[in-house]
Amino acid sequence: MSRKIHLTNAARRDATVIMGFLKPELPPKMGVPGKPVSFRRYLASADENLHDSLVNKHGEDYAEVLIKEDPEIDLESIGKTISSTSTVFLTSKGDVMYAAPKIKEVIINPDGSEREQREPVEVEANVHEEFPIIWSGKKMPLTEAIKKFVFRKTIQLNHVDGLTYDFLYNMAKELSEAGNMMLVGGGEKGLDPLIFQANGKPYRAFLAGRIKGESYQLFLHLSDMELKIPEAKDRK
Amino acid sequence: MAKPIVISYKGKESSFDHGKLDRAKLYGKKKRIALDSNDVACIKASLVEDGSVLIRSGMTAQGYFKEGGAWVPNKELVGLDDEGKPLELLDSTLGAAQTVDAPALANELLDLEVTSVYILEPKEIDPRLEKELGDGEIMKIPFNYRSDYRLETGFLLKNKEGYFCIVGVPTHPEWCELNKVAVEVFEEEDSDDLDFDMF
Repeated sequence: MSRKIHLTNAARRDATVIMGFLKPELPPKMGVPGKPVSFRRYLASADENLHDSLVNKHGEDYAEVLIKEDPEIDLESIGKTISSTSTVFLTSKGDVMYAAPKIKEVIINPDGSEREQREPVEVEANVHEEFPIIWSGKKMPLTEAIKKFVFRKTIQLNHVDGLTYDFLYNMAKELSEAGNMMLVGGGEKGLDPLIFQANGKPYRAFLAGRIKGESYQLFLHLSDMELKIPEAKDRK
Repeated sequence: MAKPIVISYKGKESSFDHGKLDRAKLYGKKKRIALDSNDVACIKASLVEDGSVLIRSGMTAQGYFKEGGAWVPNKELVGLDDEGKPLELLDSTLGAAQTVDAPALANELLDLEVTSVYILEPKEIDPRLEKELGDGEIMKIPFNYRSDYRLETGFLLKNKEGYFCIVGVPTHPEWCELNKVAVEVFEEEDSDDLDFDMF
């Protein structure tokens, strides 16, 4: 994916550039040497072949019926390839709902206990072309940051013309030479975590750069987790 | 219990027990529940495109099939390279000493697409490795939790909280040059979870 991102530099000059997520090579494909195979999701059972339906029809102890009548197999349905589907909500009794369900948000503590139930809180994205993400001025040595945060995703920033080349190159140069990462974010001071889409996960974001001659690499490293020991100390 | 992570640094072995670390263990999590008109949790199901089948939990399976539709048992499947040739199955690295000759660079860790993070508990640690990790060095090791056709990469490090191993797959970012101008490409985005409680 590549799309536009609007950001400021140390002098509060802003520009819109292109961002793209860094992706590793895909894992090897699975298959049979010399024989083309395809991966498919398929129907393995019809509704009336599921355990609950069989219990309703034959009672809890239906093992003998399975042997004699094969009620768990529906030759008409089984094996049908499933491609795209739509999500449907059923009532707790199993009937299709024709109105949108109510949504409740549940907050779970680190120990797995429930902390709170509440109305859903809608969170807006704060990374878009309209408002820039802000160079906060809060820097951290790169060697310290990698031991403090897990950087789950990385975005590489790329110029769209000569002016934005200078803009990004200079940021990469400044950060590279100082060996620093720079906290960037939303809000006036750039301290708010970045949210890339509505109700998306917020990330702390740090800019880091490298230069090689006239070439540069400028990254936005995204972290959703610190490197620390859980209080519960339950590591299982 | 899983076998330990074993590292051989400058000829001396150290071993670490490990446990997975994730966000929910540090900050908890949020989840959204759909309720029916009686305020009871709904059941999630799927409807196929033509509306002919309502799919409930337990009704689907997935697998590989040959041309003609014959199912391929998992034991016949192997990893294939780009030319369709079978790849070697690589053993789990747990319990086997992984040799490290020199500390890694911070940028190598930053280029990693992280797949998992482990908290480490030293069982036996060589004083030299302990000192170098304490001085801020990071160590790169081959890592596979279980046997696989692709080897992941792990980075051992120490901070004031303890020892950690960050595991993932390296990426290879390209250099940006003045005459290579990027263009915007529109693709469908990955959906993102809603949960965050950090800071």
